[in-house]
Amino acid sequence: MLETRDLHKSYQTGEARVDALRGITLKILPGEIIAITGPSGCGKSTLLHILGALDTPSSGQIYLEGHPLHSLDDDKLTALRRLKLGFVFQFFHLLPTLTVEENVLLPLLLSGRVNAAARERAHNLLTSVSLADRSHHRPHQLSGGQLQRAAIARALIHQPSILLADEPTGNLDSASSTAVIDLITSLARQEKTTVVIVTHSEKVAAAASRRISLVDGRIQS
Amino acid sequence: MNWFLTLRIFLAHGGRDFLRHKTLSLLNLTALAVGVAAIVAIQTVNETALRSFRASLDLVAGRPDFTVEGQGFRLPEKLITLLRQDPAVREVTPTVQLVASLPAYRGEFLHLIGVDPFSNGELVTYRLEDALRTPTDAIAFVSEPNTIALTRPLADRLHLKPGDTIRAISGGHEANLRIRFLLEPSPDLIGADDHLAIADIATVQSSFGLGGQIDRIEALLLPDASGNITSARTQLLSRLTPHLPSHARAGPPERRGNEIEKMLGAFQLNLTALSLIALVVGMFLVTNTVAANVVRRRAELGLLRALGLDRRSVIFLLVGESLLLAIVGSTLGIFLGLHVARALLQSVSSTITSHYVLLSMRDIIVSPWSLAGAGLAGLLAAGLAAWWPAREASLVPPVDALQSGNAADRASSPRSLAPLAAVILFFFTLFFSATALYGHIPRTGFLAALSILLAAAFLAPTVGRLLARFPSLPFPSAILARSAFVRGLHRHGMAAAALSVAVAMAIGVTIMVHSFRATVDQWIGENIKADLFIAPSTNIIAGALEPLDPEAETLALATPGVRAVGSYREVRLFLNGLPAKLAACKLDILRIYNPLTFLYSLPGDPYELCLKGDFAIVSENFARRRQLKPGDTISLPTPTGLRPLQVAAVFRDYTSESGLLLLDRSAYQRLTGDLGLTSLAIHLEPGSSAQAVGDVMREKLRPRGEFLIYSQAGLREEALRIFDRSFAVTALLRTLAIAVAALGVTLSLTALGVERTREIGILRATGASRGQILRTIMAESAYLGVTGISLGLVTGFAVALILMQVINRAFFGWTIDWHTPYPSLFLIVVGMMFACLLASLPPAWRASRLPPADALRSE
Ligand SMILES: Nc1ncnc2c1ncn2[C@@H]1O[C@H](COP(=O)(O)OP(=O)(O)OP(=O)(O)O)[C@@H](O)[C@H]1O
Ligand SMILES: [Mg+2]
Repeated sequence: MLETRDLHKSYQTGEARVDALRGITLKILPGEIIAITGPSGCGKSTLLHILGALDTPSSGQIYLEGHPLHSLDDDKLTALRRLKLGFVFQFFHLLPTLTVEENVLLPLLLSGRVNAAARERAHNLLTSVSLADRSHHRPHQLSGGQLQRAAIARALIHQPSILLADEPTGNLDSASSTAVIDLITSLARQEKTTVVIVTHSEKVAAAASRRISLVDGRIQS
Repeated sequence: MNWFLTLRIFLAHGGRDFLRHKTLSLLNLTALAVGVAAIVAIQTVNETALRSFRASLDLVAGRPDFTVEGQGFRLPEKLITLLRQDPAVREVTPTVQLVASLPAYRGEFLHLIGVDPFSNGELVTYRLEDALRTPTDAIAFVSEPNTIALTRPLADRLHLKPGDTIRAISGGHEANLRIRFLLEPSPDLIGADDHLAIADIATVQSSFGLGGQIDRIEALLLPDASGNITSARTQLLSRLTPHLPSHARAGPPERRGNEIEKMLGAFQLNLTALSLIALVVGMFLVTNTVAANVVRRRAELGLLRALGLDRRSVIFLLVGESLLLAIVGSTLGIFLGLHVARALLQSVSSTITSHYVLLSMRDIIVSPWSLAGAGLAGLLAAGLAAWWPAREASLVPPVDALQSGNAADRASSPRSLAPLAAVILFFFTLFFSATALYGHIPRTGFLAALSILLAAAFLAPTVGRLLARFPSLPFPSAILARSAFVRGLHRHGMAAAALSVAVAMAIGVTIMVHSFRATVDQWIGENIKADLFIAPSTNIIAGALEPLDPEAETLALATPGVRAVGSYREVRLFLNGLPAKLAACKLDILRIYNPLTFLYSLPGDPYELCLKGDFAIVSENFARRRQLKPGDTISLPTPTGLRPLQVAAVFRDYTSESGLLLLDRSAYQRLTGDLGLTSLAIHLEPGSSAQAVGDVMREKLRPRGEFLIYSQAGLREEALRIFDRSFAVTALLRTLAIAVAALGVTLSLTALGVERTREIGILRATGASRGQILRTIMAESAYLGVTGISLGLVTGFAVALILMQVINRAFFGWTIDWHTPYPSLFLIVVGMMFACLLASLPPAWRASRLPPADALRSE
């Protein structure tokens, strides 16, 4: 479903060159829940961004359900993100200008697919993340854990094939962390979504079906 | 607090922030500079005009203790002896002046001043100091007939040098003048007109038929024991008054200073109004820039607070940083403003010359005070604009500021107060309109205009919010733009306010100018009936009122095809302390060929009254400014004494800003002894062609000097050309204000784009395409545009109403019929909308091109 071959990514800032990824080859199967771990700065976020079609590799190939992400243009990548990918970030990343419900509906709004059924689904998702009563609030009126649950609902609203999460619990207390991880895993199973989570937390990693450790831009076996 | 530490943080932190957000910082700087530039440009033009005007007057008036001058008519020479014999007087010197055309140089003229090089001893001013360095020079001046001194700029322009002769014509007299000296402009009289020429008073009198006549007498007085001349002056005045003709004005020369402002009337008004607008729009820009900058950085401040920075330091830091930015911006703005002023100068100069007085401005006069003032305005705006949000930011508990989410979304806005302020300002508008109209404090009319503009500005956020109440178009970008617009009102509110002020002013001025022009045009069509008009060219080119060659009237009457000739005489004088035009014409011809539009009149035929007795007809603005009605009496100072005239009728007229007092020609000649003419209006036999008669007249007059001969259509064109030229500055400044507002929009959107980089990242991650981002930001700009423009449109009508019904009425007393220029308004509205969308293009493009991963990483 998602496959990479010898991915490299380097950043050039002035004189200095940072090799964030140095040859990543991996294969992710449908329904898997993958945890990516590793020390800070080892390239986890970079990898996740490339897996999520937000960034392109400097070299190497990456295929999402057969689509060669490394050679697609921005429009095609956008279309894939719209249809097949969902994101959850460490800092909640809701749009402050929209209500919680509107935030959840955002992926559908952007592809012009907001209808009664979509609203129904948004309501169901918000119920399952226990935010049904908060749907008309604005992000700044919510707590950190609530924000993250809303972000999860948004990531799943359009039934993506893959959910990508970058340290979704990095900013939460342990109780909220557990709740968020439980939510992701249970919802993902329920929706048969593949999940890739970047995390520092052992507990989260343990809940995954497979674990990939990165060190210095390489997979440690 | 530890000032040293704060200062270090301030310099390191602020400086780096500036460098890190290069685009934003440069935009902020530009906005500040443009705001200050707008103020500087208008101030400088204003200042230059006033100073040049004053310099021209000084040049003519010298710097004496006491002056006697004839207003409207010249003075008899015998007054010199009268003054010279007075015990209080130390020195006395006369001058006579006129404007002569130079037939060999089309469009050029001399402003010829006749002086007495022997008697002006200590009254020597610039003119003689430079021309006559030695007594022999003075002797040459007097002994060699027809000797003159010319300014070096004019001599250079006409390729003349000492020894050359030029032919000059005035009032049917011509003379060959020999250039003997060149005048160097001295530094204290920069800006004075370079058409100036000096000759011996006898030369001027004999060459141009002014024997025994002088224009003014200047005197130096003997101070009393304490070195004071005030009492000497008072005594002199009381001794002199019984012997002076009633049209002579005697007294200290300072009095003229006040009259300058009155004479520059409408022009000053125009510029004052515009400089106020520039100030408002400029201040808005500065305020917006600085305030938004502070709001943007609240999170950072939270961090600094958490790290132990105290509240006062936070304020100090923010205000200091803004001031630093403002200093750089203001400095740039001052340079920019001076350039704009230089560019504006030409049109200003011709405006004044064609309307008021002879004035040529070659370069701007920079007053350090007005520059300092503009710079200070920029700093003050920046300081205040920073202080309020800085104080607010300093009050936020550090945790709050540190919490995630866009800091700006949490900033409370004082919005509940804004509509109230708008309502209060609206009442101010009414109040000031009333004081201007009924309280006889015309200047408050400007406060009325300013109040309504500020009211609109305060309403901008409310209107924006109202607009966002409407459901948006069912496109993703429109939906997103709508909510983003509401949440971005902390920035957009100010931009919309600046936009609405600029649009309101543009619309107000456009309606006013259009209505005024249409009124004048219509009036010309209905009231100017003659087929041909003839006037000396200097009167048109130099705004002078030199007499026409009397031969012209004889020639006109003898030309085949001519049925009647109306003759006009015009002089300028002060009546009841206000400038006015005294005019005379043959009313028996006027009533038949070109009847006036009377608004009110005494019972009976006003023409008959004027033909038979001491009656006059006055223009509407003349009557309104002096609160006169038919039957009232005016005292007219003439060389033969003070003559009471009864107002027979009030008529509609747009030829004179200061108002017109019209007499029958014979009555005028009887009262004043002045037989001169200023222009002719020729009525033709049916069937004869204006073109043909005009050509014949032109041919006949050619050897007699330079004349301007207009057909009816030509006169209308000329009148409208002058009209348009006098509003050319207005149009330029209107464009400037609009450009400033458009820049405000770009700035607002760019800044928001920078603030929202991460949000753009989320949108891209959730599947927004580049096109959607582009459209969202453009739609947001459209919201901003619709808010500012719709508010500006409505306010513009109110501004037009104030300009026409309050300011114009209070200052000039004209009736301007309302004509709405729909096509122009449509153009302004569409043009501004287009400008808003165009202004949004760079920030929208930038946002849409951001790589999503980078956008997400931004903090
Ligand atoms: N835009 C960029 N320009 C330059 N270097 C970058 C950029 N983005 C990331 N890097 C560098 O790439 C390397 C990998 O960064 P990445 O964000 O992927 O690390 P990470 O594993 O997610 O770290 P953390 O656990 O702290 O989030 C780091 O050394 C980082 O400094
Ligand atoms: Mg990371």
